[in-house]
Amino acid sequence: MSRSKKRTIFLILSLLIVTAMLVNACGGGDSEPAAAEAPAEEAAPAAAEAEEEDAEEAMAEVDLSPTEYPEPQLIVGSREVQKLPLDQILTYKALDSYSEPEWVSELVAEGVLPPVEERLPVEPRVILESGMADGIGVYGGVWRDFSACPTEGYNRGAGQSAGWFGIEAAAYASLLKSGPIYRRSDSLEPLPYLAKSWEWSEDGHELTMSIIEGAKWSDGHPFTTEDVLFSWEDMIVDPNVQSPKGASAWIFEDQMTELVVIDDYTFKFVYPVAFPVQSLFQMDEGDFHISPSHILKPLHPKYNSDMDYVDFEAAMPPDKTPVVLGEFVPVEYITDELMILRRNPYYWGVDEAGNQLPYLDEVVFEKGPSGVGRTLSTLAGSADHSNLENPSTFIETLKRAEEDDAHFYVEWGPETLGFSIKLNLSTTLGVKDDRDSAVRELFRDLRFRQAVSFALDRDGISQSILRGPFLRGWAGGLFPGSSYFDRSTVAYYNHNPEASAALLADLGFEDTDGDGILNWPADRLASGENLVLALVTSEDAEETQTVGDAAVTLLGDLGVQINVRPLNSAARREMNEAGEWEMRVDRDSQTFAVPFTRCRELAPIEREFSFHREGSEPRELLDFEQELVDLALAFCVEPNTDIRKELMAEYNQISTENVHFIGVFVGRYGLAAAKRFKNVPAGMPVFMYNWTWENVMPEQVWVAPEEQIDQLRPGVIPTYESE
Amino acid sequence: MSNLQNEVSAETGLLSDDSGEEQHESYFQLVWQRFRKSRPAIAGGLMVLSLIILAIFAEFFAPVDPGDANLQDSFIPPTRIRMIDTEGKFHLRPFVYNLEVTIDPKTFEPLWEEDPEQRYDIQFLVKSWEWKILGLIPTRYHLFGVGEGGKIHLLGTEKQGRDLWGRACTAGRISLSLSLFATLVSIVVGAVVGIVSGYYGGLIDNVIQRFVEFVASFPQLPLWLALAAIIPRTWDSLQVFIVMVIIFSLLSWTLLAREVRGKVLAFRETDFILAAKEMGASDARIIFLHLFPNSISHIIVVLTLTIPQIILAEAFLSFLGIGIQEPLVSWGFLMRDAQNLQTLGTHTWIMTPVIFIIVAVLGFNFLGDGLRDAADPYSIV
Repeated sequence: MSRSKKRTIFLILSLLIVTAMLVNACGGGDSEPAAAEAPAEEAAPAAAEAEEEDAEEAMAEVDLSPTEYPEPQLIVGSREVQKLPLDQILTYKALDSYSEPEWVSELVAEGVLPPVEERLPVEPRVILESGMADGIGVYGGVWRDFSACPTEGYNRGAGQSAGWFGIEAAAYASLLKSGPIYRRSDSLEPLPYLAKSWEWSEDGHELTMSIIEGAKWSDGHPFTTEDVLFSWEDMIVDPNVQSPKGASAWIFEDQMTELVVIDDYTFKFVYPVAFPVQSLFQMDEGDFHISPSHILKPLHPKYNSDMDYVDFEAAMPPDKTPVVLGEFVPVEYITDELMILRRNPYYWGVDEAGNQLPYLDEVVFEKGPSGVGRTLSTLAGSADHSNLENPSTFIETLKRAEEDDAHFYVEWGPETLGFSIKLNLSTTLGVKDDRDSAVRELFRDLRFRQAVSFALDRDGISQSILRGPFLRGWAGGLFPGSSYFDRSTVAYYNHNPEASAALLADLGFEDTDGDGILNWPADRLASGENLVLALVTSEDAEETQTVGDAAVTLLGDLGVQINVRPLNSAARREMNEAGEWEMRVDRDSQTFAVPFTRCRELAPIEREFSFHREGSEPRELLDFEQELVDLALAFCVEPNTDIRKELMAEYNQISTENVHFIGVFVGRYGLAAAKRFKNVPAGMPVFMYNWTWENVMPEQVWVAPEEQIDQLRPGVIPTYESE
Repeated sequence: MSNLQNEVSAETGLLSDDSGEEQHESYFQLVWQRFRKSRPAIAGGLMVLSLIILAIFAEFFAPVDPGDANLQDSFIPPTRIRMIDTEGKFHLRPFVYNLEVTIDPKTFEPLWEEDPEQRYDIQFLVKSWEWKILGLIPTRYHLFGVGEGGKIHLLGTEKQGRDLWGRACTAGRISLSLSLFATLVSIVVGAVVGIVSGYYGGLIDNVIQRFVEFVASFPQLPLWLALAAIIPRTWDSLQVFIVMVIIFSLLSWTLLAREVRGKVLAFRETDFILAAKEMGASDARIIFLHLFPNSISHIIVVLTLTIPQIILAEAFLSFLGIGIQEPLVSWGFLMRDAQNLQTLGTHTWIMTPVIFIIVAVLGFNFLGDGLRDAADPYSIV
């Protein structure tokens, strides 16, 4: 054979191979739905009518009614929460005598610190033994933890992060505390903290609060209403300061709430509406940050013309020991490596025996780049706590916990870990062309939302993420683990591909070109185009990608092409703000677990509502959305718990009947905590009103002397340079 | 005698016959003679060929439809092929037991156990689900399978309950065709730019070389991250695939352009090029009939070495979640599921597609090394 012939044959063979691979790779394959037969290029009117009749008949034959939402499976490793009335958990009273760790007494003897009686308030906050799981503790010990966020600084009131993961909870204090509400049997109100009591006026427009008298900052400076007023006027209300919750949260019916100081230990809120009881949750940890006025006031641009707001924000840098009110004080920070917090010698809480709290001497946060590092560190034995919020780590953590030498145990909380698919309901924001308009109109059609819901094999998705009883299908609406959840109110449109196909046919979708993908009907703006929808998942949350991939398969079987795009959190945020998204998979927030704390996020009340954001043009609410808004607003100001439950039952029914968003699966957060820790409340949720560090009340945690591990900085207390 | 001489010729590469007439073996014959002496190169070629055949006829080799998702069958471990049953009896025909799952009451770990009551013989050339040869000819034949009710998953199943072996074979289509296309485009661009740059020299060379430097210095990962954010949302996976091919091509031609330019710079002063010029040959004729064929050996070598680089790059991007997306599947995409604790601890078989990547990369590298050695058959070994 000649050389040129060989070359020709080689070339032909190569081309054949490449073509074959391409045909195989990109060909339709067998994934076409059954409907993809006999392309009808130009259907005759008679044929169209016949098809319409067929679709109607199909609709009539298919059962479109919701099914009953099942009971949860019992799961080993959950304990009942021991609920108590507040007066059995804590009180504020003077005790006969007070004590402190021996090494602190030595510092008192050396004149470094004043005596404990002088450091404590007149009536300290007393944690009662009746509320302790393991009773009064002993001093000493370390809590080793992990933080995956950078520490910007300690000016929390100006929006700076100290590193999250519990650092804020350990170091800062707020007027009220909502984390431990799950322990209360008498009320669903936040617990008193710096504010020890409060009273509504008869007309409900004034709320008078008394703060703890004689409490001191970690540098020994007295805490008074001066600090509250500064935190209010110059941090929360000042529009130039990026406080965690700004003034807009305090506006009711377009009028601003006022704060009036009565004396050093009493002040009142004056509201434009009666009994805005929900605002108590705006005074809790993370929302109403109390800043030290004696430190920050001289640095505030309002009082210091040499300062600007950028300098002010950085006024409490991470390399300087901050003045705080919390149980622990950050005394050392090695950038992105380690943070050491030591006991606050001025902390204003004691146990019933008069021991100044906290019991622990030290908290250490190892720094890392990713949250899963906390679980890995716990498995490896270098951390004492992890929140199990990523199902892919559950089994490995349990396997490790079952080993004889495991230093931690695992406990499961209520079902409040939910993932859902959101559809963008805005008609204008992010809409660029006719196709976008058509997509948004489609999303606003209940039949389409039901079709998507029916398409999802929720139990299958749950099992594909994690076999076993951890996860199960979720209809959307409130989480089953919420105290407001009522199973009978759920409209559950669970897996029913026939119903989904019938609804899509009823919407006029049909595969007219035989490519296996449904085509838009002629009367829609995207007429004739393939039904292709974009679904955004999160690079940071693996489960959202699993849900996205499952949606591609399940909806693809019905002829709906889903294009999945994983984005990082920054890109997702930008996309959400611009409204330039169609469908997205979310891990849902605590709004659906503890709706009262975030009642304005239940429905499109705020302009920035998650999946129906308002742009420059007014928002067009669907009828059921308006109903949800009305219910949420009524719920926000309803003081009666029973009526609140009724309102939420109605909310849940309307939300799930109208498939406001499409719940996919729900599971439980798990707590991995060191076995040596005492006084961790039984059944404590990792995530309910707040996260672990707020829920556990860290000041009451103690470790038996024989189990205590070495401290990194024994004998150290926070010290401050004198001005 | 003649046969003997031919064999000798093949061995030595030096040619002569009885009559004393000089007989020329072509360049490619010389290359082949040298190439086939290299065992790693032959092994590499066979590895690549196997992957190509597995990819083209994936459905034939897959006992279960690799596109058939059943979420309830997720994370089934690889099926153990047996010839000895639970009672110790030997069977000539290999068989499998179906697996039953129980959940550990303490750790909730799924425990898979074989059910001796459900035994299925492995059959060869079985008829089961329909597929199309080259996407055109329908057939129901598969290399192997088990009877109805039996399940056989050589590499287990993935999160949607799809057969991982079939998926890995199918994934070769995207991984191999993407790398092949991207390499071909980059070879064409690189060769043309290199030859033009080297042949014309002067200002053209200068401009082209600065442009090559610009492209070569482009940071690729940020480009991918940016692309992931700006790709129009109605684009499907195939369009993303084509964009990936183009981007890979446009970013990987620069090295070849540099090397070809060097070769051409050397060639353009040689006698045969000067002679062609003197005889009035056009630039195009000189480039495509003289310079290009003389650079082809080098180009083929670069081709075989670029393919594994692109396979790895695709795997890297898909692993990060910014490459291939459902419903397409590539080896890198399959590896995306292998990056969590659960896979490392419990579902280790999810990592097996990495074997395909290793075989492909090694195969192409062995092949490339063999070709590189063989491409210059006149050199002294």
